[in-house]
Amino acid sequence: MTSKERFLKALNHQKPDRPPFNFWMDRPLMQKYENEIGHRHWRVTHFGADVIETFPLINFSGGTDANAWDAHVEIKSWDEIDNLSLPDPNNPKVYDLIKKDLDEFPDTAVILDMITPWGHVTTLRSYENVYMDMYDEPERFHAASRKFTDILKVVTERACEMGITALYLMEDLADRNGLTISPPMIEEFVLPYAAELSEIAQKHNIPVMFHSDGNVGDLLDMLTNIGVQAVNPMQPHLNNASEFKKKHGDKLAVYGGLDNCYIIPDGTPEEVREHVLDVFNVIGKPDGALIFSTHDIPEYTPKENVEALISTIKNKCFY
Amino acid sequence: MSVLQEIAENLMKGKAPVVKELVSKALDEGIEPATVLADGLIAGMNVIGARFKKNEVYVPEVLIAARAMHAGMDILKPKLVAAGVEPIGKVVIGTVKGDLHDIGKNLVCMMLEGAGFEVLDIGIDCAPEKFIETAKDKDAKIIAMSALLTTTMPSMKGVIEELNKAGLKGIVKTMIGGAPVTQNYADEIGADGYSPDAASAVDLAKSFL
Repeated sequence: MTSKERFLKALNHQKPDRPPFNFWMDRPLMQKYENEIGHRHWRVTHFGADVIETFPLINFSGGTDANAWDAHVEIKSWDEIDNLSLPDPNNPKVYDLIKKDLDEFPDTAVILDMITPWGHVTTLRSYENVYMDMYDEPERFHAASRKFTDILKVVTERACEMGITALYLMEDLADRNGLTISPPMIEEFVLPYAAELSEIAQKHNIPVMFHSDGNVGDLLDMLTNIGVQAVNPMQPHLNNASEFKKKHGDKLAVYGGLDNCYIIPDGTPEEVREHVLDVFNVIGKPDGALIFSTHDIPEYTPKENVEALISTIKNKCFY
Repeated sequence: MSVLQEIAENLMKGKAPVVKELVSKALDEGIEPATVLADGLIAGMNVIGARFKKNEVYVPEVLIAARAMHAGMDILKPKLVAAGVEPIGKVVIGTVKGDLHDIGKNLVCMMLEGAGFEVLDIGIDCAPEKFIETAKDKDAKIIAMSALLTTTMPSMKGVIEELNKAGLKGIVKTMIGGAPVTQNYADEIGADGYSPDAASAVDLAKSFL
């Protein structure tokens, strides 16, 4: 079974041979591994991870030669946003990385990281401003979201045509205590635009996933309403896996489930092994709808714990 | 509805210009500045804080309420100073060295101000010395530290170590918070308190008074 087949089975609530997996670490630690192993996708080539997160080279402050993660511009006024020189989604350079990843890894699940339009506005305005903009400047907020969405729709369409395995929408809408903005605001400012991107993927029969940090319990029904099939990272200290499985397990798979905050960095290798098996038994075992992943594993995590994590997934979690 | 209740109600709705007008009106009516602060502005922020804790309101509502509070304070502050009204305490607050995140810290600042503290916000990426020098200079008895990254959390320990070296252990209380921070971590590094959210940070700071 290829990684891509394994991944798609899990997303469709079918049991693969074992759960597919991916993992994330603090960036300096990832860089260290990359330097040691010598491949940008060292998680796949060295550890046998099943997922590559690729992304378009586009952002709304840097045009088409920078990815969205590189955008750190705080734009003070809405006039500036209204007059931004917008990136061209038809520029072939936008798709360079996606093409490279798809060509190089045809048997791996290559999913498209796509920050929502709301997130792009937030990157330009900062969270703090955006939270108040939704009260103060709703029309301008919507106008910018409209423009950004139209560009991202072209990107999504093109990436789907290129053969991405899944569309992975990303937006932090929760913290440890629950939602950071109210459900009506999410419904008004975030989801309609995300839904337009989701619809494009669904038209291509490409599954849609969603990332939000935090305690996401109150978000899940809203996500399934826009066609989301899997959620990430479902941090276990903030989200009860059994309750999730009971309430949402028939509709949502988990891309995540592992504890990067406590057990993986601070536990013994044996505790890490037990934790992996617990998550597997609760989320994966019933219907296979588990793609293991972590939020960022801290830099100070012992190497043995990372090895225990991966070897348990690969060698102990069988359906 | 009394003018003080009106101040609180409009503050909760984030209506900054209205709050500003009502504070002026209250002062014109001869209400003591300290009463306007306690029974108008702080009363409103207390309700917002309690609702935030219960997930009845969210970050945007706290931000617009805090903005309304500031609008009221612009009018009220000179009167409070003139009347010799003291803040209930002083807190030095910052995001620790290496960490550039500030929204969590800013929320805590707003909540603390809303509860009547003087907040000395030293910003982001703050070295331990900055926390300690500010606390010494301003005679603040509480240092509050924020971190959003696991990689910057150890800087909190650095602040506490420097504080101990300066002979201020027990004199200046330390409190920590931020997404990856836990009570266990607070215990481990010897912080005096940990707060899981901005509203609880107020209760914690008050417990140090």
